[in-house]
Amino acid sequence: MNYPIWLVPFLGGSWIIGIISIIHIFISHFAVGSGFYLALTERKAYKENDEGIYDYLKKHTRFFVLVTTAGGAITGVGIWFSVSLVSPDTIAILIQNFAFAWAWEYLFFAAEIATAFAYYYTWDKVSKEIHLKLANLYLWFSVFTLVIINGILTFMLTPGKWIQTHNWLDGFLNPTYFPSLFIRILIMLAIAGIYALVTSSRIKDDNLREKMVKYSAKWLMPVFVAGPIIGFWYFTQIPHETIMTIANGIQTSGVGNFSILTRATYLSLILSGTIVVFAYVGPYLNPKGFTFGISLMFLLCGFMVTGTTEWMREMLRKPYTVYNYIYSNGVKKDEILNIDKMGFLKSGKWANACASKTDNDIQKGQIIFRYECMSCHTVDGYRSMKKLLGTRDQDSIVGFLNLLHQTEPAKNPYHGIMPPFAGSDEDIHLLSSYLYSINNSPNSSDHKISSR
Amino acid sequence: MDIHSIIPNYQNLPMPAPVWLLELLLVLGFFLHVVPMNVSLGGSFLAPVFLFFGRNNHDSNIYQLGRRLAYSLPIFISFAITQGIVPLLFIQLLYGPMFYTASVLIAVPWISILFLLLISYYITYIVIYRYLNVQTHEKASADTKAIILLFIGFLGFLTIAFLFTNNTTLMLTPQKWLAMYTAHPTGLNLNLGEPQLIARYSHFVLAAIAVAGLAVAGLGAYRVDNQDEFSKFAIKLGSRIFLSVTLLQIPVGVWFLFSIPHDIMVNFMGQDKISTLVFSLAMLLALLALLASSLASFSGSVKAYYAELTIGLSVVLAMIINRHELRSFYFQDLIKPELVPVKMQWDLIIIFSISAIGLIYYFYWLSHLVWNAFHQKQQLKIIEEVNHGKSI
Repeated sequence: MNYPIWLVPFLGGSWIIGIISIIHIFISHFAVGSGFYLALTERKAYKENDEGIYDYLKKHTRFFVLVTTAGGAITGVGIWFSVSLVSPDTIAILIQNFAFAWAWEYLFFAAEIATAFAYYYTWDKVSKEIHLKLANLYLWFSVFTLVIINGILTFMLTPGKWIQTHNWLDGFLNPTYFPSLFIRILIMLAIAGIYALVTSSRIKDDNLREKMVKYSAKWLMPVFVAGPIIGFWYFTQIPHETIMTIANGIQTSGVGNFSILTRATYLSLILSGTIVVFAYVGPYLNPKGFTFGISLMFLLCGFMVTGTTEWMREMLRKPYTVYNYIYSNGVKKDEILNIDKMGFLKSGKWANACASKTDNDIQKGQIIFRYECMSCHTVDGYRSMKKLLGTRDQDSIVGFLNLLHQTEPAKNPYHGIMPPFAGSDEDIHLLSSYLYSINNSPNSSDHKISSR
Repeated sequence: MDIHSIIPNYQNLPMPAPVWLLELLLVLGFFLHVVPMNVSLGGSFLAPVFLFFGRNNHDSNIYQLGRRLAYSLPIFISFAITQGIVPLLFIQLLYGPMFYTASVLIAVPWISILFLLLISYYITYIVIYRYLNVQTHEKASADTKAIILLFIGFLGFLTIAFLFTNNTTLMLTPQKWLAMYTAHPTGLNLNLGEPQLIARYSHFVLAAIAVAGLAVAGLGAYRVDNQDEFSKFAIKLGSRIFLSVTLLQIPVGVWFLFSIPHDIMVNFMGQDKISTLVFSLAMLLALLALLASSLASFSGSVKAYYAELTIGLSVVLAMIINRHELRSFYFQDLIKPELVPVKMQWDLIIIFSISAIGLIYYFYWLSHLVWNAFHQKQQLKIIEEVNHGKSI
């Protein structure tokens, strides 16, 4: 309500962030995981004095530099771009709190990128010892970028004591900081292994290919051994209400009534299980039969697990963008009482400015819809209101909005899943007029076009 | 309508440091971004031009220069992106209400920057690994493809620069916002009606070509120890590019200056002492840069080049300070970041400062290592060739 809302037809703004983030995570985890992979594999080559491994690493490095320095860096900035377009208030909160943490991360990122280029361009131009040193330096710089960004990422789900103190360190070293850090490192090792399976499957020499395929497959194992334990630790630290959403979904799975969050959890587990089983019986036990085509299947599967898991993590945080502080629609938790009193359209600068342009109830309701609902719903695309509303009449829509208006968990069945409706009775009337008009031929045709 | 009614509020949270420090970091960070960004933009124009003129003789200096410039582009692009983080961070912190709003209004073109950047970046990789590498570089068709592709990459960068100019000018003029948003809430807007848009854009694009000229000359200075003829050629050509484009900046700069609203422009003409001083200093430095580049253009001397480089980069820094002042004049009645309470994050700022010093030392160490790696390799090659010649 403080900012104008960017209308994204069909897909919704949150998916713009989602698509860019998932690609970024799959590449950035490769970048950090490769820090371990390059350092340890080059050490192996050095110890075994194996020129074959050196030759392979040289080719792998080019692939690594091409993917991470361009795709990784651009999608990383892309997350900022997309979040600032979709949730400007949230990104402003993060930046006002963590500007210097981000600036600190940038230093390590700059060192990481410079070292990656130096590492790539100095193959055969410096001694093997110095080249190995560069690999180790790259590893440390890339891990440090994770150590810092992890604090900001986990803050959003579990801001911990920050809610009371507003001290950056309280938010940074929050309850999920360490479990998330360790689990991400394990996932990074696995993703580095998956990418290495792709490059090692292209090695021409049969013996070397088998050796490297088997070696790379091993990188997928740690996450499947230690992952469940750290995963359990992670789940003990996340908010109780979120756990309940998953647990309820699991309990009711038998009757087919499980939540979307539970479905995502299942899908993530099934895909991860598929990868480990196939990695064991495929490249690990039978490296001879491993081909480039199969490696691409691993890559695809890895990408899907990343996508599902990150989406699940985002869902865990619903209905907030910073838990217990700001809702996904940009309304702050402590502002709700005031908005109820003042009226929604008078509480935010841009909501007010847009509303002052019209006297039409439906159009005013549409403005409330944009602000309060469109961070998760679209009119006729993703989480379509057209479908969700169906044949409801305006009274039943008002009844539903009155339920959503309740802030007490016992009175609102959507508590913990959707943000409570913020606004006056007049606002409920305006919003219900608009929502009813979606499926019941509105008078004005122009607003329908702009609301998609 | 009261214009303040559509300028969003700052968050109800303190700033981590005083505004002067954040401004300093914004200006310095922008300088570190602008230099590699300019080489990327200007270089992606100059490289295909050089390759075009040298296409009939691959041993010619001009072809070799085009090839080396193309090979260096990915590093400059990568650093432009990495260094872009700092100004992007501090502009959000200081002027978030203006910057976010302008970005939302032009959301679709704004987000397309990511795709344009990705395409232009990968184009340079395709060119250097596919069309300019040793096996294929003698084929004429590979040359044509390399030239066309690099030029497409340049068009991508040119568009990105245009979109940035749109956003940075739109954030200065909130009086346009509401009408723009009402017309296209889907973010399909541009700031095309802005009087300073084209002048400002032309001024900045020309500056990018001039700075890329400095980088071209730098490729010569870098090779000075063993390829004297080539290095003289590169220093002369790069300096001539810098010189001629900077001369062209005189009318374009005046055009830009007069495209700014009069009441703001007069601040640089004596009304505001500091701004006038910085502006005059920038003009003086520009004059000195013209002299140094003339010297380097005719002599091809490395010393003259270093003088030209130092003064040229100082001009860039002075101009960035002018640009910052210009924005502050636009904002003075609109937004006041200095009114947001400050709660110093001393611990984080100290860690950041120590790490920054560490990084500078590390960059020094790393560039030394890379420099030695390449130069020793070249020297070994020369010694081997000399020995080989003797044994024959």
